[in-house]
Amino acid sequence: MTTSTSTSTPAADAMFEVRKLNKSFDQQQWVLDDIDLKLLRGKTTVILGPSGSGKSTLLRCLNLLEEVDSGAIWFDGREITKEGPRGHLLRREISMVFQHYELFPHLSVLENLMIAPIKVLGVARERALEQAMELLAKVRIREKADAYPEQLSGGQQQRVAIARALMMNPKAILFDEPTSALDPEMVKEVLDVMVELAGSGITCVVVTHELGFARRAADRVVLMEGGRIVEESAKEHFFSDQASERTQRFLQQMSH
Amino acid sequence: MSESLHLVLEYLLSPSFFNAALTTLALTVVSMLIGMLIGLPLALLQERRSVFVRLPVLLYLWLFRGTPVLLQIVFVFNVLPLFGVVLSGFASGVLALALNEGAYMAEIFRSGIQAVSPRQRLAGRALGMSSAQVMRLVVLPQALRTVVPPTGNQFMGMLKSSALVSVIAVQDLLLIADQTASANFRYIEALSAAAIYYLIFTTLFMVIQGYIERWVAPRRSSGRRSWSQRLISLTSAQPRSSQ
Ligand SMILES: Nc1ncnc2c1ncn2[C@@H]1O[C@H](COP(=O)(O)OP(=O)(O)OP(=O)(O)O)[C@@H](O)[C@H]1O
Ligand SMILES: [Mg+2]
Repeated sequence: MTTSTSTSTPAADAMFEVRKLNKSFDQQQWVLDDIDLKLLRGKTTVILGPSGSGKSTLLRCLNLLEEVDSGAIWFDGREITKEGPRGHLLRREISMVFQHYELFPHLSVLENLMIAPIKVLGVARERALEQAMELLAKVRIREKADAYPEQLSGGQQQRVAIARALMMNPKAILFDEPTSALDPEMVKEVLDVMVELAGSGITCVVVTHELGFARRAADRVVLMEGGRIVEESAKEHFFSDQASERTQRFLQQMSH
Repeated sequence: MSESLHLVLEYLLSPSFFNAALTTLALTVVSMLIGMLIGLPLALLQERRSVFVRLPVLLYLWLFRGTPVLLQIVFVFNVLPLFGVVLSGFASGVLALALNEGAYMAEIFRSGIQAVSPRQRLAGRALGMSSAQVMRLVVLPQALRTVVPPTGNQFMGMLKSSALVSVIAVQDLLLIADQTASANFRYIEALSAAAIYYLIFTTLFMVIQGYIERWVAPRRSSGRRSWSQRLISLTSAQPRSSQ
C-alpha cells in the first residue's frame, strides 16, 4: 500500500510517527490531508485548530478507532496501520479521554476504573482495586469511589475518566477536548490533574482550546487547519513572534 | 346472587380450573422465555453490516409479524406432523407463541441497544474491549433499562395470546371455562372464574416488573454495600441491586 513510506523505520524518540496519512469520510473531501507528524516519547503535544479541522479524526486514527485511507502510523516502533482487525489489542496500550467523559453510568466509580483492567487485561481484582484507590487519590476524588457517575459534577467525572484511562498503564494517552464540556469553574481542577500527568513522563496528546494549558504543560504544539498541519514546533517557538503568520493570526483570534 | 358467587368460588378452587390456570401460566412464561432467547440473537445479528446476515433476520421478522399468531399456532399443530414432527398441543402452542414472540422481542432488544449512545461504545473500544465485550459489558447492561417496560407489556400480551391455543385443544383457562359453561350454561360464573385467574397473573407480572425496574434503574450508591460485595458483583454477569 505505502511502499515508500513504510520501509524506513521510525525515529527512536517518536512514540507515534504518522506518514502521509489520508482520511476521508465521503470520498470527496480529505478530512486528513497528507499528514506527517512525529509525537515524541514522554512528551506532551497539544493540538490546536479551528472546529472541523480534523483534530478528533486524527486522534481517533492514532488508536485505530478510525480506519485510515492511506498512509502509515507507527506506534512504539511498529506499524499499527497494518494491524487492522487487531485494533482492540493495540488500544490496551493507548488510552483515551473524551469531551463528554463517557463514564459507564451503570457502574460505580470504582467499577468504572476496574472493569477494563479485569476484563481486558486479566488483572487480579485485588491488584486492580489497589491501583484504583491509588489513582483516585491521585486525581483527588478518593471519597467518591462508591458513587455513581450521575452523582458527580462534570469536573469530578472527567477526573474519574482520567483515572480510568491510567488504569490501563498506557504508553500514551489521547485527550479530545477534555475540558470543553465543563463549566468554567471546573476547568482548573481537571487541567491541574493533566498538568501533573504531563510532567510525569507519559506521552500525552491533547486536543484542546485551552491556550493556558498549552503554555503551562505542552512540549510541542501542533496547529491544524482544513485537515493539514499548518505548524508543528516547540512550545517556546510556537508562542513567540518567530511562529508563522498563520499561527500568530490563529492565536490572536483565540484570545478574543 | 350468593349462589352465583359460590359457584365462581367453587370453580376457582376446582382442580380443573387450577390445572388450566397452571397451563396458561406455563404457556406464557415458557413461550416468553424462549421468545427472549430467540429475540436477543436476532437483535444482535441485525447489528451486523453484512446483508447476508441481516436478510434472513428481516425475513423472519416479516414472516412472524406479518401473519396472525392464530395462523402460526394452527400451522405448527397441523403442518409439522406432515413432515413427521408430531408435537403435543402444549408443545405446538409453545413453539408457535415463542417463534412469534421472538420477532417482537428482537425489535425490543434492538431499540434498547440503539438507545445506548455510540459514544459509550467508543469509550468501551478505547479501553481495549473487543466488540463482544463492548456489547456485553457496556451496551447490554444499559439497554436493559429500556428493555424492561416493553418486555413487561409483552408478558401481559402473551398471557392473553396464550388463550388462542384453545383452538388446538390445549386445556388452558379459556377452554376449560368454555367447556364447563357449555355443560350447564353458567357462562357468567365460569368466565368470571377464568377472568379472576387472568387478573391474578397480570397483577403478579406487574409487581415483578416493578421490582425489576427498580433493580435496573440508574444506580445511586447507598453506602451500605462494601467494596468486597461490589467486587463480587462486578465479576458475576448479573446486574445487581442497589439495596
Ligand atoms: N463520522 C463522520 N462521518 C462523516 N464526517 C465526519 C465524521 N467525523 C468527522 N467528520 C467530518 O470531518 C471533519 C473533521 O472533523 P473532526 O471532528 O475531526 O474535527 P475537529 O477538528 O475535531 O473539530 P471540533 O473542534 O469541532 O471537534 C468535519 O468536517 C466533520 O464534519
Ligand atoms: Mg473534535
